[in-house]
Amino acid sequence: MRISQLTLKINHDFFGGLLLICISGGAWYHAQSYALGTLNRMGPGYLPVALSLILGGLGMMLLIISQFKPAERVTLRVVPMIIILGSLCIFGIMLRSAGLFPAAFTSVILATFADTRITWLGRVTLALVVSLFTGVVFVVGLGMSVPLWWS
Amino acid sequence: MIKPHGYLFALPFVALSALGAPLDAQSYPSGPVTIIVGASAGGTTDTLARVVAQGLTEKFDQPFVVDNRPGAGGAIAAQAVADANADGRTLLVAFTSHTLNTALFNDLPYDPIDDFEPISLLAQVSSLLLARGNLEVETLSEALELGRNAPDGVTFAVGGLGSSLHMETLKFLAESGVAGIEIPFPGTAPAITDLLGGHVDFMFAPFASSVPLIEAGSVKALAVTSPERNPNFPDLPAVIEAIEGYPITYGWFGVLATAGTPQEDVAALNEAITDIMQSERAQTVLSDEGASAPQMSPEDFKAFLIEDMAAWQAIGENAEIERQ
Amino acid sequence: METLEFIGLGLQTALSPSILWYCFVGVFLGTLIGVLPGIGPLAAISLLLPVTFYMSASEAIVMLAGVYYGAQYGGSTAAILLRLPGTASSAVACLDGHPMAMQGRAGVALFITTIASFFGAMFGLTILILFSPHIAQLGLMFGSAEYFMLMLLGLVAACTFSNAPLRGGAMVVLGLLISMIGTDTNSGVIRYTFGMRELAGGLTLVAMAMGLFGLADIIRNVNLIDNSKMAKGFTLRSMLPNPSDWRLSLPAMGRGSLIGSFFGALPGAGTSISAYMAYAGEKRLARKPERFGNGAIEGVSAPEAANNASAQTAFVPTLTLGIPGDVTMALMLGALIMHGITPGPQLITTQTELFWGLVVSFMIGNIMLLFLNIPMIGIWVNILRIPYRWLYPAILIFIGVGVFSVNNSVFEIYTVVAIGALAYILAALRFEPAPLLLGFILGPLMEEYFRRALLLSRGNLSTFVDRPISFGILMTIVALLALLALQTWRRRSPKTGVSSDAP
Repeated sequence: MRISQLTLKINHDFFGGLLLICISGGAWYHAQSYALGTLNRMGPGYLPVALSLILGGLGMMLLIISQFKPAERVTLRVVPMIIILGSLCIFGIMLRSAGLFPAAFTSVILATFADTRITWLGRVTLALVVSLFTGVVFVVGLGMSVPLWWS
Repeated sequence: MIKPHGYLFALPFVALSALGAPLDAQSYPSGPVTIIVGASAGGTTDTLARVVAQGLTEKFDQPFVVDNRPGAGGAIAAQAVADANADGRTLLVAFTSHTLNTALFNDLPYDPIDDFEPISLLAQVSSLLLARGNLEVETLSEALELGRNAPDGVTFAVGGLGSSLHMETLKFLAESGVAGIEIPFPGTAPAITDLLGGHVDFMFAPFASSVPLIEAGSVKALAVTSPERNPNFPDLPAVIEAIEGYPITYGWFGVLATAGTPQEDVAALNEAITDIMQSERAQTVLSDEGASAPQMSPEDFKAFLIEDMAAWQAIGENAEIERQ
Repeated sequence: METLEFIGLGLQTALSPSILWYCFVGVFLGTLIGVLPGIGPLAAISLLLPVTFYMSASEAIVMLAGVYYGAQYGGSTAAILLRLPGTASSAVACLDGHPMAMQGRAGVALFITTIASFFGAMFGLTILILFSPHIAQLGLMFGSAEYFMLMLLGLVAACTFSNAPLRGGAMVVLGLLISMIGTDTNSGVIRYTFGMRELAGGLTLVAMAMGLFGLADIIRNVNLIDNSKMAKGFTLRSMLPNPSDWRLSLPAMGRGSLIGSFFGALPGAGTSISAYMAYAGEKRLARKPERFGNGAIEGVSAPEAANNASAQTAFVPTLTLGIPGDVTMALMLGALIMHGITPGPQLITTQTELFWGLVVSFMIGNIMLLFLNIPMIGIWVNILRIPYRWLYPAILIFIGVGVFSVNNSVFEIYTVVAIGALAYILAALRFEPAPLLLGFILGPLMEEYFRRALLLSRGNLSTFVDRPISFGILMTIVALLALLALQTWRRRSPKTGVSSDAP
């Protein structure tokens, strides 16, 4: 590393450190509205403030360490993440209003788009099997209190 | 977590027998009924709810299903019932926190009285003042003596902040002049554990969990909070005998429906529940909890709730509790 | 011997046909429920409770208890096969059980799990029979200061989970911070809920475990893994552990059972902490700790034995003091009361037949479980032969239904989505989820106990040193830290230069 040139090395530790610092900053900021108290009689804000400072410190250390390590490619699978989490959200939205069966069916169909090899026939079959299975096991078998269908 | 034990100012209620309104058992309910309980499975509220659900299922020949939605002192369950269709097919088994919450929170998303159709009171309970087994007091007056003079103060286990037992503790400290330090616990069970282990000095505890420990001599019972002595413990004084003008409070459990539920359904439910509470199974649960089940009409129950709410708000202001 | 007489008495009760039948029904349902990710014994027992109205008290408790300890057997199945822990205690089984499955040793992992479960449960039961009144008394000696020290011991142990101490430490702290969400027990102040009333009770353990392990794993693997880890046909041979597996596992089971029996008997400590402690203990003892996380068999057998041992000894405070150690036990207590039996110190003397009948039926139930579970292993392993693209949407729905069933609340589904997003990002940046989960479990307990200990001592920090048990645990922590430092120094001293990412 030459002194005259400032190069940032991008690797897992770098982003990891950044993430920790961001989280700790947010946590610290929100903790400001809770009373601090003292060590002997801690207020509700004592530990959140202390922990966010520690986390920030650890993040900073990770950030520094990252510059002594080689640069690396960091990948984040954004599309699968959105599809998977989104279909679970849809499941939650539909569960009470539409019922377990339609909710499970729809969200399985959506979730299968995260895989590129599945066919439409496979999609529908899978959705039918999964939604039938969960309906039978959880509602009929275990008596979970959620409607199967909308009424 | 707010625990289902509560108290309220004793009010001179006349326990009316259930209304003899004519009911058409065929028309209600039009399908399965959900009984939403704002407490976790296993506690007193849940136990009572299940006894009632079982009885109603047999009486109306439709499934009455218990749905536990604990959290926020029963507020999540109450909101679900307040928002439900007013067809009597969603019922709430509420406990003291239903009215007590108005003394703790500023912006409840529902009105505990106006958004509901009160149906029936299930039970009301009082509590016991306990001391740890190795504390050198035998009577309430010795305890008061110790509490007023201890240089470092004495400790009171509190099973759940914002619960009715917490309110009882606050009230007792204010009225007795005892220098007590509140030691908060997340629930009644861990608080009793620490009392048993001798880590705290005193505690206001519900009957069901205390009686076996008192009989085994592991903890000492000093007083009851009810206005009269308990028939099972005739030697145990009432707190009011030692502290003049001590405000008496009870905890309660009751059934409510969504506002606008047809009156004939409410009457039918009230009559059925009154019957169920006389059954052997319900009586077993009640006697274990040291509870009584005064019979009330829906109108009486509503009046009861309104006065109860006012009582909690008064105690809350008296103890300078800051609302959130 | 007196104990033998009592066991004889218990056998009379436990061998009656109706008790045997309900014991079988209980353990059978328990196994199924344990295997289904998300639906835990708590949900199952509360669903079964109304059914028990029509039974006698002993039949009811035998069946409900069967569901409870039966679920401990199956609990790690989904964790090992799909990296999908239904409970916090089975999250430990992900750490080494899932790598074993990836190496084609799923059958071995499940077999050893069953054996360890049986071993642990029987050990716990023996302790229950021999010492129940005494353990309850021991548990009572633990006050807030002692509990705090125990938790601290747990956290120090957690730092040994991670092969990179700095990152592991950061995850513990993050877990502690996340655990601050919800109502503060001491002041009643609601923290970090961002105006959402549903968060007032904090995040649920199931949502955390599912999000951290299950959901993050789907996002990481989807469209990458084609057919699963082991398409090979399943034979009985591939299920049997080899001699070196046995040699490593048996002592680990013994240690795990000891740890589990101890923690189970403490009111409030619960099964998850014992599983973590057992895991950390094994890693600490191992000659090559780096094997852990890559399919070390002791990492499966010790926590599993601990789990089951503590599930049995958890009955000690419930039955003998009337104090439930966790929510599931609270439900059992409710069931007893509903049948007119009041648990408490006098239960053993006044309800002698019931108590010993229960204990003996637990033994019979565990033997049934052993014979029920071993033939099932073949069926479960075949799940791995289903291509991943068929499997993950089903897992996703299981996660949704599982977290919903905890509080019957749709809100839980959105929390698990949020946790899953965070968990995936953390995993992509190579952080490990296990220390985060342990920090999350221990955080609120530690804060609560610490503050209560100080309230009780009127603000005097010396309470932690003055109380003998607390002092003893503190010394153990110091010794452990010294050992850790010594090992780190020894390992690093031959090398020169800065080692990778030590602080």
